[in-house]
Amino acid sequence: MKDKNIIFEKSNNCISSYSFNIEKNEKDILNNIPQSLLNDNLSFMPDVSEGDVARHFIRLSNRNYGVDTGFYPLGSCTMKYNPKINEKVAGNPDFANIHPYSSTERVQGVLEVLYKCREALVEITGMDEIDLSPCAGAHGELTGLYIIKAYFKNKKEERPIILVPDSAHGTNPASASVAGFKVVSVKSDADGFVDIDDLKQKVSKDVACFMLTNPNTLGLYEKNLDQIVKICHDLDIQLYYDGANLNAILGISKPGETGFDVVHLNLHKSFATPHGGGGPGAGPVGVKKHLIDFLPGENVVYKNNKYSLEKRGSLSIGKVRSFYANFSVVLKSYVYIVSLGKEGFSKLGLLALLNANYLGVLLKEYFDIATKPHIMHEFVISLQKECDETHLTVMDFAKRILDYGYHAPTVSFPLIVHSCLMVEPTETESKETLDKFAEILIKILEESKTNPDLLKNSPVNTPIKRVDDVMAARTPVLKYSKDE
Amino acid sequence: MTYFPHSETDIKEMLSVIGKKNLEELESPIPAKYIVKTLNLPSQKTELEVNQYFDKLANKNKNYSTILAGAGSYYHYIPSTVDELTGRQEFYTAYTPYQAEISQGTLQAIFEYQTYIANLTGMDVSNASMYDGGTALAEACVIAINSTRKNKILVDKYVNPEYLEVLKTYMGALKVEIVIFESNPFKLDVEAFKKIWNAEFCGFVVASPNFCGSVIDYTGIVDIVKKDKRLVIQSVSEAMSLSVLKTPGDMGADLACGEAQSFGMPLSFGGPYLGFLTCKKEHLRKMPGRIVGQTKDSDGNIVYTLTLTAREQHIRRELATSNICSNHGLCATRASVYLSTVGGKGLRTCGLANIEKSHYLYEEISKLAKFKVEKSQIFFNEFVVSTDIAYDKISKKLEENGILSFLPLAKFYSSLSNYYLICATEMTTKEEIDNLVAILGSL
Ligand SMILES: Cc1ncc(COP(=O)(O)O)c(C=O)c1O
Repeated sequence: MKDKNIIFEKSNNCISSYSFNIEKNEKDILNNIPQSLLNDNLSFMPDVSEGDVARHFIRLSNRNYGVDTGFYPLGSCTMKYNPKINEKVAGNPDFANIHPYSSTERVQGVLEVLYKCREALVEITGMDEIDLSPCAGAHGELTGLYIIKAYFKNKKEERPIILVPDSAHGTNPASASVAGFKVVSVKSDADGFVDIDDLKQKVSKDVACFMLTNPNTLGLYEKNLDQIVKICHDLDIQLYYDGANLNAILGISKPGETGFDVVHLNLHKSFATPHGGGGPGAGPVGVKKHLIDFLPGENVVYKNNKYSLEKRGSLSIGKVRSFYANFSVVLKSYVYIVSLGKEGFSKLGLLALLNANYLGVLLKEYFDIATKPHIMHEFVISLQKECDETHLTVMDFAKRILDYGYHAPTVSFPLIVHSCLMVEPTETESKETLDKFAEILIKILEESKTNPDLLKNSPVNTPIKRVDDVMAARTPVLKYSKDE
Repeated sequence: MTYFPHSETDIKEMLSVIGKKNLEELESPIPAKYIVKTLNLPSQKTELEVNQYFDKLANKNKNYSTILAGAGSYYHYIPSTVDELTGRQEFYTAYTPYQAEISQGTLQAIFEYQTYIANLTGMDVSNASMYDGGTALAEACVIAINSTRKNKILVDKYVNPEYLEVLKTYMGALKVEIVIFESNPFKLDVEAFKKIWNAEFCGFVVASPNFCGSVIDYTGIVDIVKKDKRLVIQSVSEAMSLSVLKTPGDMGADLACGEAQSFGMPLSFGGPYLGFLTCKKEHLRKMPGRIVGQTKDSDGNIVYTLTLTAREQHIRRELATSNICSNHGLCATRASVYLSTVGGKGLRTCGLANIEKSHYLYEEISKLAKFKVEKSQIFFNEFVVSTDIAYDKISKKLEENGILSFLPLAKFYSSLSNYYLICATEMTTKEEIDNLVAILGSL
């Protein structure tokens, strides 16, 4: 099974291959290294003219869908518009071409960006200190949990357990495992809030941390947050804030003021840096005073009119990544913060709430909205009833959405709602876009009753038809091979 | 600049549909005591002002005119196609390709990346990327631990020290003991290895090229490790070396991991870079992160999709092989564009240029009375120089001349005081080399 459109099939040994200048011939140059340590050749690599390479990737880009293509209501992922100025600034060679081992004197601009971005994030989150090292949300979680582990180790306490709500994102329990903890799940009540009775049963001095997402993955603001904080803090259980949903409260409220000890942010969500089809992002970690000593790696400091990087003290958890940070990602989010300023942030969260609530109201007569009573920045639609009645799956609904030129909402997450779609419009979408999207969802609902095959056979308007995921997993083909 | 598309009328209409009087009513689930009035941030700026502000900041950086340093972050040429093509919004503003039918671009670019990296490392399988060389090493060690159920790992002393620090953080939390193999910066001593090796280790991590730039022949230890059914992991901090060096797979490694920043990522003060992780097929089910596979659509076309997801956090939660979710996908796409642009011939000549330039520099420095190179060192683009001249004196002179070079190895190894790391790549010109050598000669 060979794809004729793969780059490896386009190799034609063209005369204008890419080149670098060398003076001696290949054999003489390779004489510097013993034959036994050299490869034979790179014959698997294609040689394609630059024009054909350009066409190849433009064709691929035409088979992709970005935020600039259209509405991307992917719940929990905050797919807002990524301002072009962010990319432009990050592309400046005076930022892009800097070696991480440059002398401090030569990187004052870089260090000032890092320092000021950190200050802004401290202000926005209400935490006492922020570290910029982590590469993504899950990496931020891991870093936060290492910090909590080090905190208890320093207190000579053995606390092997992390609590996570059953509504939590998969990375929460996975990060807890990678950090060497045991995971215990806390139930949600009928509405999706943390079940306080269950929490009370599960807390003890064996628990190091309770990881919350707030608003939670249903789009609900934890109504008993104060009580949760008290239950945990009475036992010195650290409260963790998964910042994936920070957009809901950005500029409105600060997790640091509501009782959280550790937060991570997703700069590639709330702070408008592009997700890149799977990263790179950045997942800065914020902590309260009692945890500052445990932060990773190095710290940017400003002393005597000079910025520098300083290794943290002996209680630090150590490094979680090579070098300092995903600098260009941090830079882009700092451009965003500087652009919006305090006026922009005073509207951002409110408009994210407005868009989600508006869309929710447009749909609630037609769909079972599982996010009750108050929608924050996103909401979950349960299609359980529709699926039961029609023998369609939630995926059929999602694929039909693609046919109308939209990206689908998040499918089948959170796990506590069966057959669900999670919709997050973000603040950068207009009323008109939301009106149209609601119309389409209602139309698809109608189609599911009158002509369910339309959904079953969808998508039909996309570059390719429905993908066979079962076949992909059953007979894994994970790289191109000439002889197959 | 803000990016809100609402008019005042829109806001009013929307509020009335929702049944709220003003925007603030939407905050009602948040207790009033937690509502902030305004953030203490500077006022918003116009795009022009933002530009001016960041131009000023950028100008505070004083970049070197010559970079003759590597140490895990390599100055290579980035073909014009890389920014241009990965700068397509369809690539960079997309999310993880969950909806395969509208994400074939990302998926195929990653599949091609997996093909390139698996072949360059001589392995069967590559995942869709890791964060960086350090976390890739940590994840590789987790595979070795999980597949052998041993809680000890032997690590060569000259693995990139940044990676080693990351590894210590990850392994410490899992109560895995790291034992350092006190090897030699220039070659692996098989007899010394035999003395320390035993089957209580889940595997052995070797770096080649190692932090000193040495290409290490570790074939002599492969059978020793394999006899005990343990894993050999090769960490590669300079992926460009794979253009000419024997693949980790052919050397005998079970897993290869490292840093592919050299394939189209700018230096960017250390990140974002491109971690890679590849394995022989028997370890496939233990691989962390996203993997793209080939399949068919309902019309029978060959297409691509995320696959083998039963390893991952969103399915397996605390039992997942890793917690990684977002990775460095766009960096992998950049690597695809980079490698497709330069092609086999371009990559080969790029590798040759690295060898030629760095060996010329090595020869020239070896002629200087006050500097010594290691006669036996086998290297790709980075090597070690020693001298009795005080570091302050060298660094002051190089700084004055705008040259980044002579990274002091004493910072990382107490046994290597007076030793320095130097790198030359295809970017290096003969003038730059001659200039550096003249400056050194004058010290
Ligand atoms: C609630 C939640 N937590 C954590 C994550 C993980 O973030 P990342 O993909 O940046 O690692 C996500 C991402 O989808 C999320 O939605």
